[in-house]
Amino acid sequence: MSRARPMSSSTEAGGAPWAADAPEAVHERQTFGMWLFLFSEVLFFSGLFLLYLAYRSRHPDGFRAGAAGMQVALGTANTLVLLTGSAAAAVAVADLEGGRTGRSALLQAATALLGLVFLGVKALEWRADILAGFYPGAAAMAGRSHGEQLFCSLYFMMTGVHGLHVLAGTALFGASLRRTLAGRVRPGHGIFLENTGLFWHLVDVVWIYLWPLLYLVR
Amino acid sequence: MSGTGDVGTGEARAASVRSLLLVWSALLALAVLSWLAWREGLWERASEGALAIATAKAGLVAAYFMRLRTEGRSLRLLLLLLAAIVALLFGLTMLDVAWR
Repeated sequence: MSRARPMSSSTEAGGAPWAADAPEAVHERQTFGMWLFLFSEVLFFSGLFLLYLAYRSRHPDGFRAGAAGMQVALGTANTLVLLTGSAAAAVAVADLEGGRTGRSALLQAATALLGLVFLGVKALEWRADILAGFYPGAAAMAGRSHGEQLFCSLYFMMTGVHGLHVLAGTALFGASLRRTLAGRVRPGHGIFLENTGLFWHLVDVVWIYLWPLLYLVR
Repeated sequence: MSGTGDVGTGEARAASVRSLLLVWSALLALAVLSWLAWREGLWERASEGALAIATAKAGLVAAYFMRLRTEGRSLRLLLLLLAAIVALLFGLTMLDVAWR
């Protein structure tokens, strides 16, 4: 592999498209690498969901009681926010590939903004929970059943970890937007945006399951 | 540095914006359906339905937004392996919990 090769496509320079450093091959490797990372994230979140399901099966009444106080309206609003953000991210990638860089940049900004909206709503929700004495270690929780206490701890842990991922995704879209405006992310050079989008969609998928398990199912 | 790994043939893989917006509409509709069912108390009697709707939504996101429909065979095989590992993890753990 020659490091002296210019950055233009090796195929344009007469190189073989199946060469290890052909843009197509490198793109495929970078995408595959991102998927491998996403798979590790799936395993990580699977552990959390498994913990939830295992404890729920042992304490169904406690989990039902704990979930009764969930703010379904806020959780639902956040679901719609994340689904819209995911769509915006997907269209941003499609737009970049189609040469509509300006619109792609707008949608990247919209995705990041929706990420901030999600975090804001989640912060409001947590604030209300904490003021109501619903948080791990609260004095008010001491008198509740073991199942309720477990639900409370799992709720804050799972939504907290998910929230950190939303924060990371928001930051990544901010970085992608900056690169797009600088011309570094552009049609034919969109792997950073594509991989950021993949991460964002996984974060959305995790919430797709968190929402019914924590808010809807009794 | 060798190629950045970016290609000019993304159009071949790109889903149309229209189809992405259709998927978004379907996702919103499924979310609203889930919320309506909750409001009617349906999930107290059939909680599996909520998870089934969630799985449908996750499938749409994976297939269309994450483009798994157009990804290569090696990635799909890896995804199958991951699904098998997760299923085994869940199955064995819940079996253990049930027997305690």
